[in-house]
Amino acid sequence: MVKLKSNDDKEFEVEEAAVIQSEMIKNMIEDGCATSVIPLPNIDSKTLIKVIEYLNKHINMGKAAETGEEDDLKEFDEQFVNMGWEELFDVIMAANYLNIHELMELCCQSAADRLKNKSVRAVREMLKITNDLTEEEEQEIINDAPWAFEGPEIDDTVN
Amino acid sequence: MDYASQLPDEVLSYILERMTLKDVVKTSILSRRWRYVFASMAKLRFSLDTIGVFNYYLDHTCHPYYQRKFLQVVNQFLQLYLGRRKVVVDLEMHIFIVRELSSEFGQLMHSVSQLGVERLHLNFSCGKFFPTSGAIDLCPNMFFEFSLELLSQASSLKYLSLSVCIVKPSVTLRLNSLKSLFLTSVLVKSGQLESILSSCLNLSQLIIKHCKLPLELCISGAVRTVLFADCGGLKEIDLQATNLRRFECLFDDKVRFYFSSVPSLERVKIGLRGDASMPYIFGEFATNIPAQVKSLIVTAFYTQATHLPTEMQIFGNLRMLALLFESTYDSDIVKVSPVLDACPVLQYLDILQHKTYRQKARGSHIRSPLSPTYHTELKEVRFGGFHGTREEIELAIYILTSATVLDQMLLSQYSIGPYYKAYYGHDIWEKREPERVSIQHLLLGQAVSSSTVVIIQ
Repeated sequence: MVKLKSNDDKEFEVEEAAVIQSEMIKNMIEDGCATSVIPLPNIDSKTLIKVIEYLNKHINMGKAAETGEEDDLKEFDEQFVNMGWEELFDVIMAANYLNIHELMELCCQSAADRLKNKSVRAVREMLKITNDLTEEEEQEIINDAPWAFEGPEIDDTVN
Repeated sequence: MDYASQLPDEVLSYILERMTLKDVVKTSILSRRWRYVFASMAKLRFSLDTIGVFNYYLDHTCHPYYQRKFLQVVNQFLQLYLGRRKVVVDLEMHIFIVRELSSEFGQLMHSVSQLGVERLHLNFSCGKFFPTSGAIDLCPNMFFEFSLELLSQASSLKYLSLSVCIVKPSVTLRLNSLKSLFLTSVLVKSGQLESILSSCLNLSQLIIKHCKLPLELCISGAVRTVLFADCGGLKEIDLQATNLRRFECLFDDKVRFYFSSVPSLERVKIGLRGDASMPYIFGEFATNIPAQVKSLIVTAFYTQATHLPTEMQIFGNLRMLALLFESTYDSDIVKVSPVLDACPVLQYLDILQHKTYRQKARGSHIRSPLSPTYHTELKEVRFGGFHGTREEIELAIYILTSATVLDQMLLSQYSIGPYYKAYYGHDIWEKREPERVSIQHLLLGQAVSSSTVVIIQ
């Protein structure tokens, strides 16, 4: 068992087989730097719970492929990324910090899928972005790559 | 509060790399923060889909309007990158262009050199499938001619993959950074590959697939690994590469090999289609193969297995031999035994049958029993795709009665080792367990070495 501590001082016990999916922690264990509690100053407990849930589910990835539980895992992944933008970005930051390749891939793909074909207005609203560009700047950007802003208007919905 | 504000550009670029180019560029107008986020992407993929164009052509081409539009868009996009002095590690392009657009394309390659690209993939087709070597031969003018000279300034380039084109070499060109070269569906004319190799003095890996080759080829230079797959047209190949360690090939016809200067060659994998190939491989090829080659993999297709010669040349130093029988038809696996006798110092033997079709015995297989030649080095035999037929058992007995120091014989219905999969279906021994046990007893009783382990699974 490996103990992880979130930035709000909560401790979580995780099986070593699960936690070594994180390259960062795997390296720490291999270097003998993971004797007591591993502090994770960039991750809050809410996000860490999500990450641990993922690690525990994916612990037997190889086994799942053999026993035909791949579909089950796929369904889990689909459910897992069903979260708000704020939470998704928190998990991406945690996955990036902990260097968990598969989780990073899953979450970034989900983010990319959500933004696919969306209009600029829709993306701004989804990500709560305030447009601070002047009209001149906007025109300049369009002039740099007019092709990207041409064509039939795209998906303007925000879900 | 902007949700994405906490994410650094590098992390946002992972998301952008999974979006179409059109959606990516649109993010530059979201806000000031987002204006140049896209320029942190280290991997760029350009194709008609990613610039938001639907190609309705069914073959590998597309409408000339789209070809121009594509080059214009990509050139504009790369200019934005250059303006930010960014480095692109990996760049992939998937587009059919006619030769008339060479100058626009040249501009694009100029940007590639300036961006410090390390891995470049250029596929001059819009289709998903690669044309065969035969199709390339039919209409060579339909293919873009890529001049290697365009990369003369690409001093960071380590990996280059060219697909569906003709490559125009240059005598004076030096691509000293290049380590790996992949050619797929390329028409290689006489002397071209030799010229390319002389430009790439530090090339380590050469991979050639689905290419139409000239009658004769000479592999030279510093290359360490060479792989040909599904290539046609070649009749003779001369290997003159002092660093060459690994050579693998699958040619459409019988090809004659010359091993002029390959002092480092250790591993060879060979597959030549056509019935004349087996007598060649186990005859002249065996005679000429350099003495230091320790590992040989031979693939036999369709009826080739029935053309294994009974008299063979000796592979004097071969330690590891694998025989892969793919889609063979009505073959008699016992015919493998002379191969074994031709390898006096063999230590490891792998046999893999994949999709073998057997006919019911036509007449009786009356053959004089095999008289064993003793194999004094053979340690391990693995047989994949073993179903317990009479011929398979006969071969196994032959090996067991002749291998004096055999440690293990593995007879598996499944694949073995690093080769392709042999069997996917249900467990064949499930309902034949007593038979499996009796075969195991029979075989074990035949082993000349008391320490031999026989496993049937």
